[in-house]
Amino acid sequence: MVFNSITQMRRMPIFSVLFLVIFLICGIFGSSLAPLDPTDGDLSRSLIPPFQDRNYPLGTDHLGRDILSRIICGARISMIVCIMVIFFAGSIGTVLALLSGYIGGKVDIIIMRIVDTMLSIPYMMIAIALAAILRPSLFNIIILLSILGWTGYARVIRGEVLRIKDSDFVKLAKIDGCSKTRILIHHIFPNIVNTLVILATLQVGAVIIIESSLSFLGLGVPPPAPSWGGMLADSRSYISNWWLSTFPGLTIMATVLSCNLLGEWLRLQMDPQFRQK
Amino acid sequence: MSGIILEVKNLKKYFPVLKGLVFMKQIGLIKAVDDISFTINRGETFGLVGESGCGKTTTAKLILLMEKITCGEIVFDGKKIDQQSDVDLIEYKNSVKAVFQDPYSSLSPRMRVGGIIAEPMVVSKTFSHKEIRERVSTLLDLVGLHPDSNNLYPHEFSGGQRQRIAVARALALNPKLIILDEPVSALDISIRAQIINLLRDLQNKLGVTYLLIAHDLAVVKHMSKKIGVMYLGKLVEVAESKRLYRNPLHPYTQALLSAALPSHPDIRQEEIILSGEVPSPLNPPLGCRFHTRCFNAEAVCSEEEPILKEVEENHQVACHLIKI
Amino acid sequence: MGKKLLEVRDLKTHLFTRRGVIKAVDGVSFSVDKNETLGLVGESGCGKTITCLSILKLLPNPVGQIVGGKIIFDNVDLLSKSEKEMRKIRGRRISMILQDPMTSLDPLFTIGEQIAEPIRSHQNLERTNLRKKIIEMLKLVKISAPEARIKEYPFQMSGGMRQRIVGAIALSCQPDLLIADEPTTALDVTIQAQFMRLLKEIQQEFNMAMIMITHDFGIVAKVCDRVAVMYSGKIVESAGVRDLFNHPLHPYTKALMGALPKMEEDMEKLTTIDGQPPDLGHLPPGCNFAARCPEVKEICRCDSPILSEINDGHVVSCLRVQ
Repeated sequence: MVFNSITQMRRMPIFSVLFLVIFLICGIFGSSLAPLDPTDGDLSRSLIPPFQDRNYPLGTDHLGRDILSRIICGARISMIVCIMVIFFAGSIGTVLALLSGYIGGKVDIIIMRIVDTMLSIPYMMIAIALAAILRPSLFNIIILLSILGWTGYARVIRGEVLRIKDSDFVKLAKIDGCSKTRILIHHIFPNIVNTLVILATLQVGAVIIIESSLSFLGLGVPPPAPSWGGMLADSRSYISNWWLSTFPGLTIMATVLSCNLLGEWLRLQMDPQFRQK
Repeated sequence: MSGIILEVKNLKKYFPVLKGLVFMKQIGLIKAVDDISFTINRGETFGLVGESGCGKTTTAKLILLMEKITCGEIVFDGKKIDQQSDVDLIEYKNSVKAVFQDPYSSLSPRMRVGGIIAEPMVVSKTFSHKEIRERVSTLLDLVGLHPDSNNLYPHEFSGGQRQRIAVARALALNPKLIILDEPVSALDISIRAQIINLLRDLQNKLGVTYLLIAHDLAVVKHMSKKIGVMYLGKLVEVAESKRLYRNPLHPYTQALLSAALPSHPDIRQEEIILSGEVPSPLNPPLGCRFHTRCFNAEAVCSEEEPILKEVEENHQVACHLIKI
Repeated sequence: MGKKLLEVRDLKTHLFTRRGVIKAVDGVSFSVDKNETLGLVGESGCGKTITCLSILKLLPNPVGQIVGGKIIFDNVDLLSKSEKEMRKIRGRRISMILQDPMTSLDPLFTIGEQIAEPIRSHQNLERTNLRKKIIEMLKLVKISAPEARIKEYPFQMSGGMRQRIVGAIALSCQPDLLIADEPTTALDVTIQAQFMRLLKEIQQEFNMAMIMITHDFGIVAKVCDRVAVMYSGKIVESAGVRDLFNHPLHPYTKALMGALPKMEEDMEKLTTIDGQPPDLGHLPPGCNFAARCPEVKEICRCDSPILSEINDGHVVSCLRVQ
């Protein structure tokens, strides 16, 4: 209806977009943007509070490393993990959802039962177990999160496929003698791209949180490579030096929040009802 | 028999009703279409009217081969359509096309108009790129759209224009028969008239045959040469449209026509208000299916099922009370 | 004719959206007498629904705002009423039936509970009396075996029956004015005839006024006493129903009537109106219909016509006719 689309209209979340652009820039050019070497510590300058030394605007950690530089360089790991996980999890999830939704029958039952099983196992537990077996490394984290992440895509996109499968344009395509592959590629896939983009945006937040949690538990990317979760983990023994945990924590929060706000905005923007007006 | 393009003989479609949590058991049959036969002449429009659930859309789906036929046969252009043999089937599918009710859901929102119209030609693989491009602009012109439209997406068009695109697509392979399933009921009045005129012009120009399914009696009357009235999966009356409107014989047709809205406040036709609602097709009444609501039902009506028989030239009725 | 029950004077309702102000209702005036049925005819987007939502002050907040005019109901201006006072009027004195019987009822409540709702909020009735009243309402809308039906849920009923339940809810407090927004578009032909006859009977019984919103001149011909034709937020013509069908004056009315296929006569071609209705956010100067009008003159493109009375009770807004 007219009213819905008008009240649902929202402004683009400019701050979120701005923040994510900064995040991407840091991720790509991290080491050359950072004012100091993130791994080079100077024990004589350890635990400097923020806003006191010009060279260390956000202070230093227990090994005398610059926190600002570590945050900037840590963006790279978060970014690589996000992009790879979204790519793998998204592809697996989408392909299985298309098959499940369009072919239906036994294929559908089998795929959906696997999804249900995956969703019923506590996320963190399986992550810890697998991380312990696979030994922590960037590659293993990506594999791990992809295996865990595809189910969300499969479930949502299967619903979309079922809806689109019933629409008149697919019926007309069948009447015109289009093959199943053609219908899947030309008619169904283009119409789930929106959903896919939205799911991916929302997954960025989840991936960053899990990656940080794993690093926090010592199961993530091994030190000394700077990662946001690892920084939080290091700060555990220095609770009184608040800046060690606050700045990486705030960065994680801001990134996740930005992604979720952007995802929500995209969801409203791409709503087919909205677009038809 | 060159005049007949489509003949439907004793067509039946039963849907099994299943129940049970683990082991599904068939507990009954929904007789959506139950033993109907009719013929459509080349270049004419055959209208199928009836209320929701009477089986008119299922009939369309059966002719379009979207559902498996339970029983009966379809003879198209002198050839019996066999759902198994592939070669004939492709030819049949290329000659029978459809336009649906909702102009919003019948066009893929992610395809350009040119692509939508060209798709049947692309799939049939008998056209070159150049031929397809030329044909698309001919078709756009034929349905009254600007040739530049082919680069736009459907959401840039209004409901009426979208329905024109759907018609253009249906015409792409020069079909002999187009099934129009409520083609104008989702449109505003002034737009509705545009599409009705367009469909009639196209028929005059191209000689295409229509099977029109609609619930608006005035629209069906305006467009069709012959009309079939359906009730609960059965064809109760078939006649030339003028004859049907002047002299409806089946009590259901009479009720349907009297319920139609007048075109002028001074026209006050005698209203036959039917009591109750259409019975469930799961357990249709025995005998004549209409006898539960019929205003002059007799004993025989609840015992014996009437068959469709010719009462006068081009006028068939299925009712016990009509004597020849 | 009886005395005026509702008078809408120069009503202006605008929708304030990000894309600009949409003049959904732009200076609409009409009146409804007691026991009279007014047909409000127009195509989708012409503002007929917004007009009626304005009367009930149920516009989407904060997008829709009434920016001018008066709505006088039973000698009181509704626009001066507070929300609390309006709540006493809605459902009790002015009721509304919406188009889709499938979504008008709450699937989680029995129909008895749903009919009880407005009665409970407007009248103080004990349990037994309330039950009696509900059964009486169900009988009124001709539901068979009301005692059993009272405990049923909407999904157990067909579309026609649901619409009658919606009618029972709307009529439960015997309103003075019933606004019916395309009440039969979603129904089958014979069910539509049943429902129309029912509405007419109830109207006679309660001495109720009705506004029938529709796009179908057939419904107008069947049930309405007077008609107002709307186009892009304005009333372009209003007259008694016979007068309008015999002598339509506005080119839009004429075109709409010619666009309808008729059962009684054979027509080769239907009249069509070219083009699309104008964008209400960016109206061109002059008459709103000028761009599509078959009888357009130079003056129509620069001057806006005003509604003026041609003969008794027949008003039209067209520069050519005046």
